[in-house]
Amino acid sequence: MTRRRRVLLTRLLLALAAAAFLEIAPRAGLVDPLTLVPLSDMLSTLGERLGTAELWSNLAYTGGTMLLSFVLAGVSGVLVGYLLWRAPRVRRALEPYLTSYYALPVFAFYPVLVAMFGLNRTPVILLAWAYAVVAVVTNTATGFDSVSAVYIRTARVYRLGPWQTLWQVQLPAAAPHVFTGLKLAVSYAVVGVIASEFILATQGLGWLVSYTYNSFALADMYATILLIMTLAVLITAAVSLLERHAWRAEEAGR
Amino acid sequence: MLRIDDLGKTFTDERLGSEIVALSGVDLDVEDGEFVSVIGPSGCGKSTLLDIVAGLERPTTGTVHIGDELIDRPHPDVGVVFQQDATFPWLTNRQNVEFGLRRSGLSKRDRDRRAMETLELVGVEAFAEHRPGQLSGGMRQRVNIARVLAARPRILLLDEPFGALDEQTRLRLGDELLRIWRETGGTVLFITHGLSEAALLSDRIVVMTPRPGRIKEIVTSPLPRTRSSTDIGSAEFAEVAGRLWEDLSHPGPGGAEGPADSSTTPKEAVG
Repeated sequence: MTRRRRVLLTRLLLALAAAAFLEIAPRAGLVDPLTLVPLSDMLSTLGERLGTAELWSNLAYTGGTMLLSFVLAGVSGVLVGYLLWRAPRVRRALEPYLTSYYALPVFAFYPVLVAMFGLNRTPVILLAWAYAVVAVVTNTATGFDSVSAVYIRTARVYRLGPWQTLWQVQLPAAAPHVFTGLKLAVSYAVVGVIASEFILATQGLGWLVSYTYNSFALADMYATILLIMTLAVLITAAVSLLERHAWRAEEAGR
Repeated sequence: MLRIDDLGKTFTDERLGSEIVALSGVDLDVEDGEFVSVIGPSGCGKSTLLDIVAGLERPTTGTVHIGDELIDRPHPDVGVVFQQDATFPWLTNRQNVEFGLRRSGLSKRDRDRRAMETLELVGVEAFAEHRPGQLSGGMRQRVNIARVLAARPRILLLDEPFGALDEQTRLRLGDELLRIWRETGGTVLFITHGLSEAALLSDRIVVMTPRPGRIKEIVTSPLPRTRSSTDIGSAEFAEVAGRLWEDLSHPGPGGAEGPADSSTTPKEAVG
């Protein structure tokens, strides 16, 4: 308990130190106040903007896009990951592409997607999906690899069919790895959506950052960035919470 | 009755184009209620034998029958305990045991009751709502055994079930297994490489030779049905263990060094 408290304290102190730096550095002249706005200004601006319908509509739009991208990446990723695991030859052939995938500048394809699908939600979702899906695919395949052979033999002894074995044994056994993939996918979906909107969009939080930057409204820009960061932390925390509920067994196993 | 006739199994390595004879000419009858161990060095095909009896593997030659039924796939009357931990970490211990009853046609309430009864039988009832990850290896193996026993199999196959456990736990679980065997009256086929384990637990011990796996000898134990680990000091135990060691240390006829066909008629040792 005391160790846990110490960890929490360290965490809090780090956040406070960062906040203090953001507040003091521009005020003391360490950083040009035109480049970095003091934290209190960011917060007060954020407070003001939260009273406007504009910010909320952008938040809802971006949140919805993130959710759609994540759900699409999660469902298709688990499905493709399973199929890839079932087809070891295809998987071996794809292996180098999958391992080097995250070195690719995926965002470079965004303008092409915009040209193909128009300046709307579709290219953003497609890009965020493409960015997130591979993490789910590879982790799902690894998860099915990790299923102990004795589990499969047990399923056979109890005369489970292929579908029953998949649902009752393989999927729950692979779940910890699948969740690792899903957690990564959340982060990638968030980054994918924000970055795409930042590059080119007509609304959304990423667009708002870019728009306020270009209009020299730095306090507004930082306020939006703070909001995005808060959103990211909340989403990641929600997924961790979900995982703990769905997979208490692993926790107990450690 | 479990009847094994002229069982043989040859594995083909497709890349090398070579064949490995894992089992050859194995004949064995196990009476109802009998406790039979199969002992031999690694590579003698004893686990392959269990896989075939469990219906997990098809034999190349020969047949396995339970009563009049030919075994060519897993059979509901046959329960299997593996050496590796097969408990599912995402289920509680009670749910793990219940898993063994899913295809039993029992109602949810009956399954729950049966699961608890079986956990009591193996002494894990206090941890019914815990998960296997919270138990020691020995306790987890008890849950594995409970899952198999819950379905009330007529024949219990155990593949080196205590192989991963320390000696003390192994002896204690062996005693428990003997008690459960006496209480439930099932037939047990026990695969092991542990000489004293085989000597202590079994009515009869089948000694196998390596590559190809054949029966070298069947030793009948003089120990009574009420035997337990306390018999470790007895003259009877020493006699059986000595006999087994003699068999295992001299591969002899039927073994790798001996003529290939001289062991097809195993001789019965006097207990």
